[in-house]
Amino acid sequence: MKELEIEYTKQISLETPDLWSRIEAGIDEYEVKRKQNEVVSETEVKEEKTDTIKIQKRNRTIIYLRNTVMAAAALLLAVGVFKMVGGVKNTTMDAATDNSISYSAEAPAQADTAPAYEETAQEAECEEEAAIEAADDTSDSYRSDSKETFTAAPAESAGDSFIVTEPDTLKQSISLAQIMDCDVTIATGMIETLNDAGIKEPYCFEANNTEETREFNNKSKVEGASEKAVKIFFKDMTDETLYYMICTKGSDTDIEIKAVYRADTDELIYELKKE
Amino acid sequence: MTEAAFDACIKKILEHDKSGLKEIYDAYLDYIYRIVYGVVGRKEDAEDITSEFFIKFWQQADKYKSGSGHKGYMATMARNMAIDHIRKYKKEVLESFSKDEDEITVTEPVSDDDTEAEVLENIGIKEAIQMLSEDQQMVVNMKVLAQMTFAEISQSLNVPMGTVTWRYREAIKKLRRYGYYEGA
Repeated sequence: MKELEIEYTKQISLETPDLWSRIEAGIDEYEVKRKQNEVVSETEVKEEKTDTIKIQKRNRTIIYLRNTVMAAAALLLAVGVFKMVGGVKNTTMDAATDNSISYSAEAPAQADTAPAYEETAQEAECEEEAAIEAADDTSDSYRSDSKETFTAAPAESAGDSFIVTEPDTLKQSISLAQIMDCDVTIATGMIETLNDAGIKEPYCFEANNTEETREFNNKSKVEGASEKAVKIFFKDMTDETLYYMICTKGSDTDIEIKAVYRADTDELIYELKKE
Repeated sequence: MTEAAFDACIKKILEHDKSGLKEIYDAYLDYIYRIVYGVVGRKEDAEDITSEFFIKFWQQADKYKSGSGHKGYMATMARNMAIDHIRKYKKEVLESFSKDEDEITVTEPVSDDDTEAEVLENIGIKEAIQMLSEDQQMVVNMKVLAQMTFAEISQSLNVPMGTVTWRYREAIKKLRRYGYYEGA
């Protein structure tokens, strides 16, 4: 008698084939697929990351554009408001010129701050008096306005009528042409003079006495008006050098730059040659 | 193979070193093949499933928990694969197996003839097994080769356990005629 389990197990073991080559081939095939899947997965992850980065960049661009548009809109709004306020100021200034109140009130204070240019001031005083007389004789509207302006000025202030823009209160740079907007021709001539003096981009500043500067320019139109001097600080925007210039009325339609100085060294840059 | 040696092989497999699997293959090919053959009962199918077993073992080596009894783990895995196979591809066989329950009652008379017994004792185990009915072969294979319990056989073949045990007893009686007895 033979034991069933032992005999049967032994017999089956004898019949067991060698399957290693099949198994090895199956493993190799599996490994190849696994590596391919890993590569695909990595690629998918990279693509997902790339997509995420693209989306983030796009979002950033959108946010940037949105902010830029908002900033531009705010800037335009500010400029609009600024212009509106400027227009109101001009209107006010015109009204003040008509009534000759503001200038006469400010004249003594201005006189205290202007010790220099005495000769010019004295000449200005004489011319101003002459202008007052001339203005009295004339009756056209333009001259009538101007006459009121200068007749209102006190005599003692006329001699020291030296207006100074104050660099300490500067808020922002502003083109000379803008300051001289009452007469672009005059401003253009001044800028040309400054350019000839080697100052490429002369920018004056919007100081708290801007209106005074404008007033001065208005006065310069007046025939026979006294030759007040104004000291205007400005910068050459090419190298940020601060200058100031002494200006007087040149003719009926022009003002003259008497001299230009560097503000830090008082070095004379330009001087009007006397004929 | 000891548990430690088996764990070392698993470590190699996890490092994609085929030598780890080769060691397990050399140690347990007979064991796995026998179990699979015991379930499927056909050499060709047993070869296919045994190959698939080792490939699957390579793929799922990370699922093995050290110290859980590697031999039992492998036997269970091999049996389950074989049972899945017969459920998929031998559905017809199982159905016929279930329908043949009526035949169970038909038993072959065991001869007491001594002359006949002497002749039959010279039959090899394979020939003796083939003398059994297909249903009986299946139960004997599962019980002897695959080392399945009657409950597992019953569950795998989807037949009552009483039927399974009865068929097994009948098979053992026949095999005894051929000189094979059931061990303790």
